[in-house]
Amino acid sequence: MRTGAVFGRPVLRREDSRFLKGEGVYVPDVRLPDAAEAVVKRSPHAHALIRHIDISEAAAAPGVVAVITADDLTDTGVYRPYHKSPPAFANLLQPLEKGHDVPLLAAGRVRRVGEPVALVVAEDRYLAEDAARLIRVDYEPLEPVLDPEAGLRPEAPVIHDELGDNVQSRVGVVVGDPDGAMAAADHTARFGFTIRRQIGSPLGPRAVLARFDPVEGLTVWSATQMQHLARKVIGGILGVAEDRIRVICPDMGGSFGGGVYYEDILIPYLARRVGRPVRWVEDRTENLVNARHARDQVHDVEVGFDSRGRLLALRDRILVDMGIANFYGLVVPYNTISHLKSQYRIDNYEAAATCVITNKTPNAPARGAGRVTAAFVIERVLERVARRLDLDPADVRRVNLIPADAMPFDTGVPYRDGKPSVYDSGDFPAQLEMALEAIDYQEFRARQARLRAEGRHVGIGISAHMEGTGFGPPESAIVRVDGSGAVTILSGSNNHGQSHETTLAQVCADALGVDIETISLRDGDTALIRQGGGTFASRTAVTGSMAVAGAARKLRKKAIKMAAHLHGVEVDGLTVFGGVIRDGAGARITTLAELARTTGDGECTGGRAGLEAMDSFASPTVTWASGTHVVTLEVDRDTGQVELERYVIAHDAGNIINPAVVEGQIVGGVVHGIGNALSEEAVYDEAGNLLSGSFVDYRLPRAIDVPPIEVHHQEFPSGLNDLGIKGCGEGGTVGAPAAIANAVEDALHPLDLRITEMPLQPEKILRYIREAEAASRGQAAGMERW
Amino acid sequence: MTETVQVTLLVNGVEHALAVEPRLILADVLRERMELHSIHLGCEEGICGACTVLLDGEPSTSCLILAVQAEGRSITTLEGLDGDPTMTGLQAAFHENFALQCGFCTPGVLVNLFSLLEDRDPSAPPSEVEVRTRLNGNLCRCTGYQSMVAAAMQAARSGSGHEDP
Amino acid sequence: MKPPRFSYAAPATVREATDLLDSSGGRARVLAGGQSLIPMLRHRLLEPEALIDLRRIDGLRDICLDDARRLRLGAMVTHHALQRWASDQGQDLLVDAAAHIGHHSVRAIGTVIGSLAHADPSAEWGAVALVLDGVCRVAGPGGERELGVEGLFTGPYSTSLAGSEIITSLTLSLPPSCTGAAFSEVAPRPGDPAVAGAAAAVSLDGPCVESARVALIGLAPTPCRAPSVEAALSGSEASVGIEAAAQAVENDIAPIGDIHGSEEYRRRVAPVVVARALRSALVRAEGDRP
Repeated sequence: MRTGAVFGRPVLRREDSRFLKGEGVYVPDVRLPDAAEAVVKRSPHAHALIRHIDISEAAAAPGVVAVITADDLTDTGVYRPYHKSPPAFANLLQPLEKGHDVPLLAAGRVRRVGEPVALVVAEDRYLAEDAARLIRVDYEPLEPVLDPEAGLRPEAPVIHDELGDNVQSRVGVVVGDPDGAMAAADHTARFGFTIRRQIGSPLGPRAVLARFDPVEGLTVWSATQMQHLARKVIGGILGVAEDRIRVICPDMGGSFGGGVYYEDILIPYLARRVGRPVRWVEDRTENLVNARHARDQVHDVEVGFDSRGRLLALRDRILVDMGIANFYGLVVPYNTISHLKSQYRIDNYEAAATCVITNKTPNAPARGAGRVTAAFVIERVLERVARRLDLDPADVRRVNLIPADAMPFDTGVPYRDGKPSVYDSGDFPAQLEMALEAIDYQEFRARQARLRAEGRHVGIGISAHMEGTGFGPPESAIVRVDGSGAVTILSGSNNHGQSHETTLAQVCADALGVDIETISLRDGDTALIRQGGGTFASRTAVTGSMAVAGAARKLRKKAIKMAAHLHGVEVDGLTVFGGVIRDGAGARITTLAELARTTGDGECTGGRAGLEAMDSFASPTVTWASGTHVVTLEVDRDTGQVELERYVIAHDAGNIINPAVVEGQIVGGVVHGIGNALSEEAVYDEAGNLLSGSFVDYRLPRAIDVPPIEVHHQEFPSGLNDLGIKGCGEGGTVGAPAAIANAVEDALHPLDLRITEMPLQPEKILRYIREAEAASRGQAAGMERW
Repeated sequence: MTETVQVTLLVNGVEHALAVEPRLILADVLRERMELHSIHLGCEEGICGACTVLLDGEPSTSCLILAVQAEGRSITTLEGLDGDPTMTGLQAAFHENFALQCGFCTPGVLVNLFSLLEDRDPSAPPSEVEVRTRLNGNLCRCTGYQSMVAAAMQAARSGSGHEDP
Repeated sequence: MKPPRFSYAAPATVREATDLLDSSGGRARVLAGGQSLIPMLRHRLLEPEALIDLRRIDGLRDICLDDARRLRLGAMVTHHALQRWASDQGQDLLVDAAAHIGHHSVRAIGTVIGSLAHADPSAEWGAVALVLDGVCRVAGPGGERELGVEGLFTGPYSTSLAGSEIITSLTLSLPPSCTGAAFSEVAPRPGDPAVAGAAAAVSLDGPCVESARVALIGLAPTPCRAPSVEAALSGSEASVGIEAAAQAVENDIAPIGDIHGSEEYRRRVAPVVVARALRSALVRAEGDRP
């Protein structure tokens, strides 16, 4: 455990006051005089040719400023999704990665429901929607491809001609000798798992506001997680120099995955074209049909194990339903592959994933990207192995967990950066025991037996997760002090609920030696700092903190040097605390504020003006956070409804900057995972329409749907950064669906449920119950079942 | 029947006479014409509760009310509760319990919980089930609700929550 | 998701309202609370020429109970107002049913009669009104008429009302003594649209069921009675007859599957909700013995 004056303490959130008064400024709250409002006309077809678009009536409608279709986009570049892995990775695993253009507006053909077909700019949203209804599009429907297996069939229509077929990418890894180990195993089994499509669903829909000035260039306010990347993409496609684009992300209503979308490019384009600021505010139906679809994988798993339940070999063939484009390369499929072995020692492992293009919304990373599915698969496998051998599921985990003395542990599976996946620190067996003790596993088993005798079905489920955190480009920070002693952090990160104004200030306070009250953070704006990675992949606590700490330390060193020079004392022994610089005897020499004023008067020392420093940090590779989840619940056998009873998670995020903030991230993550486990499903009909297109049908967990959640912290510092931090933004989500599915299965035991899908709505549970009942009748009649 | 209708809305205690198109949604009037930005639009279908206001004292989703329907009625938004002792106590409890993250749902949550706690005897605070049931009118994707429930119960126990220093 | 353009009137009398509806030639809609109508407008599933708002008409917010235990609700009575009244009066069936409707904020604005007129096959009040012999007072250009709730629903989201008619009030016959009434529902989660629900009123004569009324939601194109269940129960010994009677529900239903629940799931849980409603009705009937 590392603590400083404020590092490690539950400092109250410094960003709260504006939000508590309703004074947060989200993109739709930014007002520019004369701004017009854009609406996107979207495809109602999953796959169709566009024969003709008639905009005449819409263009003449009241209040309309402009109507734009693909024919008008002659002055933009193309959007070609990023699709190449870094060379270190590509050379190692030789993945297949194919690229294709994505039209900003559908040209000649639509490939999914919700694809942008035209844009209307009008005086307000009501008028823009009126006009959008008047755009007449003559479609010729084509056969859609709506599941990846169908997409692979030779007779399947090819969705992007450029690709030749519907395979966009393929990647695989082999560790040890899976064939030999499988053949030699005492027991083998094969499972199919399907993880349905889910949607990130931040509560604040996306929004973009853009202004063009011939001298200033473009200013874009966007609800994106990575402002610097957005600037680069916008600049590239619209042909505007990056330094003539400023992207500002003000307050955001959550995000949970995502990046740069069509509208981030189209709205600035419109502002330039119509010569007025243009605003676009997504509504919920658009958000659900457009943004942050995730999961949607099919797994075919084989496992070899011994009589104690030790996994000797694991093989998984994965199909990922990518939708019409893969904007994030191998992030999702390879996250699944690299997290599948989880906390377990599995020496012989083979996994391969194929990303298939279908006529659906793009599949993208969302909270727990690729890892939710990995945890679901491996934890379901362990549960089935325990059932098959009639062992306690906790015991089966115990024999498979990587022991503490094996840390740091190389899984043998390269990470996405091409480096080895080395779990940097942790004690998984202790984590399991911590969680089991917290829930009182033995007591639960006794109570379960009593309730079972009364005809009630309570169950307990365990799952573990690993989370590679802190991935991606460097993060940068500038720390400066003004003449009043006010400290400002400028960060390239992006705060959309993660409490950076508090946690990064905590890091800065200790590293610089100032009171946290003197610090304020600004981030999410390309004008603040040259480089920024942004906030995703549970990275800011790792990369953002290290950049801030680096800049603050540099600044402290600089201040000490200046103090020594100006006051004629030795550098050695000078300390900074509470903004005051003292000598070794504790005598006050000067303050940071005084130094800042001195330089402000031009009396700089050493030729370096300003009490300001900058630093950047990229994690050498990912830090590995981990968690063990245990949930208890009751199943209504008549209706399939589940009532969650208690949820415990033991979690290691390395050194913790602020335990209350970390707990908030984990509890929020668990509840996201509860939705993923039980109620959230993006349902498409056979024509490719999204049926769950509103919050009536896409069901986020509500307050009554969630049980008390207890978080227990382990703190095994990461060895990859000197603050010892690991990320924690997604782990809560990652482990929850597996734990809940296992608990449902446990609740109905000895009825032998075979849960192969998530999410588990009551209807599905009732179907599993009926299948199990039928099978147990079959077994009584002498039929084999595995 | 006319194209625009004259309405008088009593918003946060102040009368506003406006000409509105009948189709104009109350939430849009509050946000766009009165710049009451505590009103957030999360679903525009009455599910998420980010636009919750008090309509004659009852929590209501302003995304499912036409401005013309609110003629002559009293509308209170979070801005209008600024300084109210119950609201101040609730806001303080939210801060102390880390009951918000991105802040988007927060104003609607506060207004809804305010109506649960207002005029309530601190010796008979609502049960956890009661708080959670009331919060069904608000979706939050960040916090997992637990901290909000704790904050609401803390505020309820301390009455106005306004402990004078 | 902004509504299309329409004109608007808030007449002061029922007569004016029906005249306005009549003159619109069926292209106007009645607005009460708007909790079903406004979402449909937002999705532009409806594009009415005009909305006729009932809010200014006197007396439509009244809730009156007469000496014959007939409860009359005006067209602007909200779910919330009825819930509060029922809770004060100990009317369990009404309290149970109201608790399943959306959430607090929706109940504060949405109206009971608006819900009936919307004719959602899964709406709770449909079953309640059928069990309590609901009668609608319907005003039209030609005057007023009475319409039993069983004659109101003609299909999903459709009623027998003419385009210029308005339901101005609903009369429910509250259960007599020795009668227990209850409501049970299965939804994907509480507050979600019902997959199956049952309202039941059971009158006891000693240990036996003298009469039973059961109505269902989510299990047919409209809310409907469950005559097979009622027949199976009638005269049976209450404590033993419930399970078998609940199974008889399969003869009374014709569920339509949708995203909330497939046809098969609805069939599966139909007897469950019927049995649960009957069981709690029975407990209440026993508690209600003089």
